[in-house]
Amino acid sequence: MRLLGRAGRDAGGDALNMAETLLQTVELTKSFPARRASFGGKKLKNVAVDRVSLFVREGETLGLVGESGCGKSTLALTLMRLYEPTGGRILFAGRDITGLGEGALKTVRRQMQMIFQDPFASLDPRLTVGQAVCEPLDIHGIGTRAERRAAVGQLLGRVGLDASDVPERYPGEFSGGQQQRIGIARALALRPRLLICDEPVSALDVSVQAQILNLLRDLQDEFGLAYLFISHNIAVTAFMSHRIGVMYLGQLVEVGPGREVVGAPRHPYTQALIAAVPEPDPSRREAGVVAEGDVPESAGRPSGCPFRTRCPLAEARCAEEEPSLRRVGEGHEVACHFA
Amino acid sequence: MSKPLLEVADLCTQFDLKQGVIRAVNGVSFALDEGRVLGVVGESGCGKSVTALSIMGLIDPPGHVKGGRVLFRDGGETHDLLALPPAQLERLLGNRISMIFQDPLTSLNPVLSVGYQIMEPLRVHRGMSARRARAQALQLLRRVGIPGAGTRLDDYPHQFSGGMRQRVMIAMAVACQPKLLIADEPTTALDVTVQAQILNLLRELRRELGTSVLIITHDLGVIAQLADRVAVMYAGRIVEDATVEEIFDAPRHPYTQVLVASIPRLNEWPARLATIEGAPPSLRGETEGCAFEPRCPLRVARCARERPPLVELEAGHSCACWVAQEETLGATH
Repeated sequence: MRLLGRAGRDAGGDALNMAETLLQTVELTKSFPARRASFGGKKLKNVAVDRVSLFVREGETLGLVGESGCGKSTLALTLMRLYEPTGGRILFAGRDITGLGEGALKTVRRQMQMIFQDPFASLDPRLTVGQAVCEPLDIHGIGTRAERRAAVGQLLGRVGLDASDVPERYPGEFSGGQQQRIGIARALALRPRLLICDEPVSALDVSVQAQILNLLRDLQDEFGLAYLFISHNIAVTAFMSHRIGVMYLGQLVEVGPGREVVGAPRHPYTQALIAAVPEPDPSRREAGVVAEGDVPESAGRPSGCPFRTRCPLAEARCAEEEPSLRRVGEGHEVACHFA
Repeated sequence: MSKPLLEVADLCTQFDLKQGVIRAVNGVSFALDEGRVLGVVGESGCGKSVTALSIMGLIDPPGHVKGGRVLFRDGGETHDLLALPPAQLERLLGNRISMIFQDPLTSLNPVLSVGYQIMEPLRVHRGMSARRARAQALQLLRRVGIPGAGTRLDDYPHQFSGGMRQRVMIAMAVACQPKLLIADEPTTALDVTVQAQILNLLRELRRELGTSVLIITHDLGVIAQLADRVAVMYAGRIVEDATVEEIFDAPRHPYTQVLVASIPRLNEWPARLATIEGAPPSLRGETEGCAFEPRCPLRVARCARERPPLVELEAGHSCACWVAQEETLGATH
């Protein structure tokens, strides 16, 4: 059953725009302990996530894109409270979970699960697949043994694995794509409302990647799941997302409907990012505007706008005044003085 | 027309493991014309990297090249790289033929300055004095776009970012103006904006130096941007070989068709992506038929029994598929 329209992915999407906010962050910040630039030198603070405010509605996908070191994975781990935030707030279903203790957090985590880039690393190699998928149910004491067993069979079947044979085998016996299916089954065991997907297909071959992306979209429709979908691959993120946020050096620099962010990007960084995607089309070879240089280390973040050192539009103002997100269209915000 | 610069014929490379023989490259043939870019594309385990390493003589035990020829034509001479004595091969490698890898950190020496490493091929192959080689290395660093090149010759690899290290490796590789550059996943470890810079640099160098490039990648975007011809590999064999336009616009092998259709593209908003069931096969044990048959949506009875050879369907477009061959060449084939 398709519960909601898709504002970014397909045309229309009023139902989603009216859906309730499930996850929200307010100026969320995560910085790591300081290191010195040199012996006896100035202490540098490494701000991995810098005052990020975003939201995910029930049943929708917010995609987050950015290059390595932009803070997207740290953001995911901070949302799960696997990292302690150093500033700002996290709200889940209207409740502030920023300072929740372990006990209360356990109930929240039932509704908020995560899948990773390397499913094998996140599965215990000594547990059979059946045990791995059942473990969350055991921990939360859900159902009788027989009920749990039935649930595991159903979950494995739903993600496209053979439930008659798979539960007794070990994760190492499976291919990368099958391991990711196991990771998804385990994440869905507690019937979460939000799934945080951190580079879930980056390690997979193209033909397998498409299977997993289709599966994730089907599961969203079936269970009304919300996704926070994190990837360095913009085309993959566009396929999955209703809305897309772009991160650079820990900050959210643009966020809006998928079609607008990809089709008519406003931030110079988003423009450079999209122009840089090598298109699988030999008739479109002219190189777009390519951003100069590399992403600076977050400890060496420039003053003012984080992108100004690579930006073709940068002026004096950009070094002095940090641009904040401002509205440029319906649900579309950009942090640039000139956008 | 002149003969191709590089001609690989029936290359077979296998790994003899306790658990059995892995036939990683199983009868691969292709040709690269002078000044052109040939892309070899396929998924993990298809044998594309082993093909490159075999050409360069870089296969270590338990792997070995079991058969085939690799002909390299340079200035009127034809060398069979697989039959060449090691001393002669060394004279070609890093000189007339060079290679860049996915991870520059593992192929750069961490205890030598980058200047020293760029100078090395110039001194060894060109017999340049230290002074001349250093001046040349500086020019190369500038050419590959290292900012402040003048002050960076004496820096060590770890002092460079990933993108800059890849530039250093390219500078090393093109130092002696090779005829052939083999690039194995040259941009896979890089961020997308840096990848675009490196692709531009490779395009420019190819234009300036006339270097022929064999590029090996899983990324169809990189192939579309850089290659003139494309060889698609599956399970140790080439299943289709055609111009880049035909591979993307009119692929004939069902595997190529799905591969091209399954990638998400910017500004296309499909409800589903094309997929094929299953995953690429393990290379242990040989099947009699087509390796793609278990996953193939178009398979017919013959596919499980007999392996289709790579046959030219039309000029410059070859495909190893019974169904495609029958469609184009008739049932007799």
